[in-house]
Amino acid sequence: MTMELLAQGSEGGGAAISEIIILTAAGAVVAAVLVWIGWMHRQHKINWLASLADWSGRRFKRPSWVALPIALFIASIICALFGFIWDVSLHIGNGRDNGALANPAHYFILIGLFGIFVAGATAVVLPRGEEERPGPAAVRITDDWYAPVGGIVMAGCGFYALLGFPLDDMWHRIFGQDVTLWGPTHLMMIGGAGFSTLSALYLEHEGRKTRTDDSPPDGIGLKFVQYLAFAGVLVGASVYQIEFDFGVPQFRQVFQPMLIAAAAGLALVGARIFMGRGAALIAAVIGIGLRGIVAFLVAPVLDAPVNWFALYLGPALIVEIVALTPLYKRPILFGAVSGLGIGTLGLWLESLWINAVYDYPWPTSIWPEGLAMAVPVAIMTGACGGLLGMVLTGQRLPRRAIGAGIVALTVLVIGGAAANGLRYDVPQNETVTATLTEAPPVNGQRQVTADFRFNPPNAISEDPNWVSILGWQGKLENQRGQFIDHLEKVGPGHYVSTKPMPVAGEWKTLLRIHDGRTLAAVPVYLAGDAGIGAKEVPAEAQFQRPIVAEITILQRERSPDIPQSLWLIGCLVVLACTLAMIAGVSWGGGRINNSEPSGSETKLEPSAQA
Amino acid sequence: MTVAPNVEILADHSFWLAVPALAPALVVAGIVVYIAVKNRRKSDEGTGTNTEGEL
Repeated sequence: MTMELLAQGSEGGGAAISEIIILTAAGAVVAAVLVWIGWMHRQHKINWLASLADWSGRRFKRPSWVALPIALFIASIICALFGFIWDVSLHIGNGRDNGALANPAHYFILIGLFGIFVAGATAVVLPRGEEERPGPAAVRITDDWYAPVGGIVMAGCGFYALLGFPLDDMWHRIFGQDVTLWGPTHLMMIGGAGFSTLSALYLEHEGRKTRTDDSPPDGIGLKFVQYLAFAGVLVGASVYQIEFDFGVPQFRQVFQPMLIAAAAGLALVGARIFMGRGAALIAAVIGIGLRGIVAFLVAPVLDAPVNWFALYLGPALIVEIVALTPLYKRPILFGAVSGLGIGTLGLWLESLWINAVYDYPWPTSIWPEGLAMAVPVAIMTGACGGLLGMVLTGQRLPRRAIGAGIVALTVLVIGGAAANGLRYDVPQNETVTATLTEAPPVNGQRQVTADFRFNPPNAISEDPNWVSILGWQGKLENQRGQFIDHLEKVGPGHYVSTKPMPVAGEWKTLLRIHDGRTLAAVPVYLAGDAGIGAKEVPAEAQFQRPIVAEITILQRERSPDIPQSLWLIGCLVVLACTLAMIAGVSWGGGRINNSEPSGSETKLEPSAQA
Repeated sequence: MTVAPNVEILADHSFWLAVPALAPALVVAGIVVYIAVKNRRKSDEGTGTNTEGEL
């Protein structure tokens, strides 16, 4: 079935036969090498893998089946993060790729996601014999082969992310061109990588549990890796915000505070419980370092469109303050209350940064709905952060039904908030009249300033989210292929540009309107695109065009004869895969926690108060 | 007006590009699951005493 669909669509795919042969051969060779190494290792016929793992184990002061996989994991996930951010920026600046292998960022993503799987598989394959049994929670493969839970969850997350590639391909072939980062299959790729950071924490915890009295004390390097892991969870949970970070949000702005609060709740609460005082702030600072390095590489070094990122310092401060209260002794409640603080005060503190540097600052009007979405989500993800902290500190979780119930409720609350966020209105029978004035060309490309009049003039409220010009996909050599200008209001329904916009070459330049529930656009100049059979929309000196929904235009790109039911099935497949991944991550936490010796909560009480 | 003004084609990942990663992942995961399932069947047929560490 799969192959049939692919074969039918292959003419549009653009992969040459020679490319396919090379890639298939590469797949076969990689599979053979991996299986051979694993087999020879388990048969005790090679020892270099065990020696390498033992060496990294001594350096890391953790068992070999923790140290080597985590080293591999860190390298892989940073590789994937860099590739992902670079890829998004290339697509914003350049538009569509010229073939699958033409985009260098894809290699980083693919190798990074594969590395996550290989890291997990390494943790599964490494432990040989009873003496290397990876802790009490380990899953039996054979009588003398036990696999650490963290390794299984890590491999599962990596597999889920990799599964996004073929599903994405089928998605494109069935439904036509992709439209956004938030395509369901894209969410699989970035979500799998994001959640895999939790599995690294699980694995490290399992390794810690096997320590004996004569194990060397944890060094400063190990401490840093633990902080880094929580920064990883934070950055991993932030991947859904990337469209906002690049100033090309395609969904309503109320999503942004909700997504920031959700990520902060899980990662910072977990960090504070596991690592103690100051950990939430340290995780936020390391996260800034990670995103900062990647952003620096992508924008100034590689000259691609610029991206910003949430700092999370405000939310981290809230978590640190709440942790000073007696609530800290009750992790789930502590997480929920921290979530409440993150979703309110924390977001306000974060808004100072957002409003200072982001292309689209938060208007005052965003807060009522923004809070209504962010607060419940942050309370629930904070509670999940509490569960995570309990697993990692060996405190016994509440009954299984309660733990699973909290995770399920979190999924439902996020789903409900997202469903609300996805709702939008499009003005009916409203138009925009534009008058363009020529400006000096840049790089030989025509530039204009514009005067826009909305009909009727009261079409826009007093405090809209944005009335702005977006130009993009204009190619990196032209102003990095991205242009944003917030229009200046000069009268009722009357807006003018503050700087010349590009209306030539490959640019797609449009007037975007986001006003509460309204999300709409008017094209100013759209380059013709023979690849998708789209004609040029010229930037005439004067024009009157209707205000239309961005998304309805997007859907015209889809093949029109695709029944709605097929789209539903596609979404359900992706949803099922995603719920399976969340269930897998939750299962891992529960299984590790189940094997904790009873009474350990009293033993850990003093450190919980630290 | 038949064109999309706001098309962000963020990925054109080909199925084939993923083959060198996905195929090995499938093979490795498949083999491990196969070994685990086979071993469990064997212990079920046998004494069935060693259930520690079961999923």
